[in-house]
Amino acid sequence: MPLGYSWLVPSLYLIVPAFNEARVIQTTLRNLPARIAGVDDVTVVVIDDGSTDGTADEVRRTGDPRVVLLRHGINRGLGGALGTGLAYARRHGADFVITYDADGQHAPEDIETVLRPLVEGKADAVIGSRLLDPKGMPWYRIAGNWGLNVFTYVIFGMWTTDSQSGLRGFSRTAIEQVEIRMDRMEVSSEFIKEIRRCRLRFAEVPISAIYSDYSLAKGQRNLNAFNILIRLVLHRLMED
Amino acid sequence: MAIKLLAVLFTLVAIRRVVVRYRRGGALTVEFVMWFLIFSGIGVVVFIPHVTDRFAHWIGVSSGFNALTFLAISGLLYSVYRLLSRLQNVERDITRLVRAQAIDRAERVTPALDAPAPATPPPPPAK
Repeated sequence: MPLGYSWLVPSLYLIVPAFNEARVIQTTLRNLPARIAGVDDVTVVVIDDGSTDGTADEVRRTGDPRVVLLRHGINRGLGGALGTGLAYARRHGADFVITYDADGQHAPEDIETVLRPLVEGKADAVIGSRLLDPKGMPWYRIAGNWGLNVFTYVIFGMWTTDSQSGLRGFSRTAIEQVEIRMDRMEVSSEFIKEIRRCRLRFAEVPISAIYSDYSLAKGQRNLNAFNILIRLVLHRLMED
Repeated sequence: MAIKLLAVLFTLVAIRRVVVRYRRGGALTVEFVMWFLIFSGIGVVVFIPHVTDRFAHWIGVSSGFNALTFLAISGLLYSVYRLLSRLQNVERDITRLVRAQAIDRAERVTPALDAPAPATPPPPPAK
């Protein structure tokens, strides 16, 4: 039995934050692998973050009993939704958590890539990095992401090649310690801060990104980077 | 002369708002007194500017105008800090409430009657 396995049935909670993703959420959920190596029990936690386009109904229509739907009464942002997913996973004693974007930009097979170091007990926090092999990534995205990587390093003192990646994995040790306080997009950098604060064993694995017109329109724009910078600075200044 | 007129108008409007808010029970007495003194102070100082020079000399600034500017900017920055801080706390509280409600009302998706069998067995109940 590899190091890190629970002698019980290891459980994975796949956290999928979704805000107005009615067009693609069914496809994203249906594309999730039926079985994931290393875990026997998979729960897909979709957090409908106050969507107004019927995202929740589309999630119900999948009819997939692995899916649990959590609905935010009002929009709280990416960080708010991820925090809700983590709180749910913590409450239900998840062994592993993976965060996964709802817009279809992740390759489903990368779930196993991110999960592997956790299951093998080699890391407590894993970032799926799109920039270790940025094939197909628009140049302006590469530039924007590198800028935010540098900024995250300056503010929080930890280097990662893809601080804004939506595909991340955490072991139970991490799930119990990581505290999410930021509500919006800046949460991606906050995860890096938390990995450092909690002194978690950290690994990066290369993942691919699927860029469709839809995911490019929904994802972070370079203009958002300035908002993220300002929020991160404010957070750093006003931390209590 | 125009600055005096503007200052008096501003003072009257501001004091009126302070009084109305206090009468409606929207402010504590201490808040009322503080804002009343601040706004009436503006109205008084514009007529006797040399008073501020004495104050400026006391705190080590060259003129009364510089001293007032320094104090005003410091006060404004502190107010912005307090506002942002409170806003952040309120946002956090809202998220906590929304989160608690979402988790309490978690719903497991049920398979449609005509749907094929699920790829994996449903997970066991919460530990």
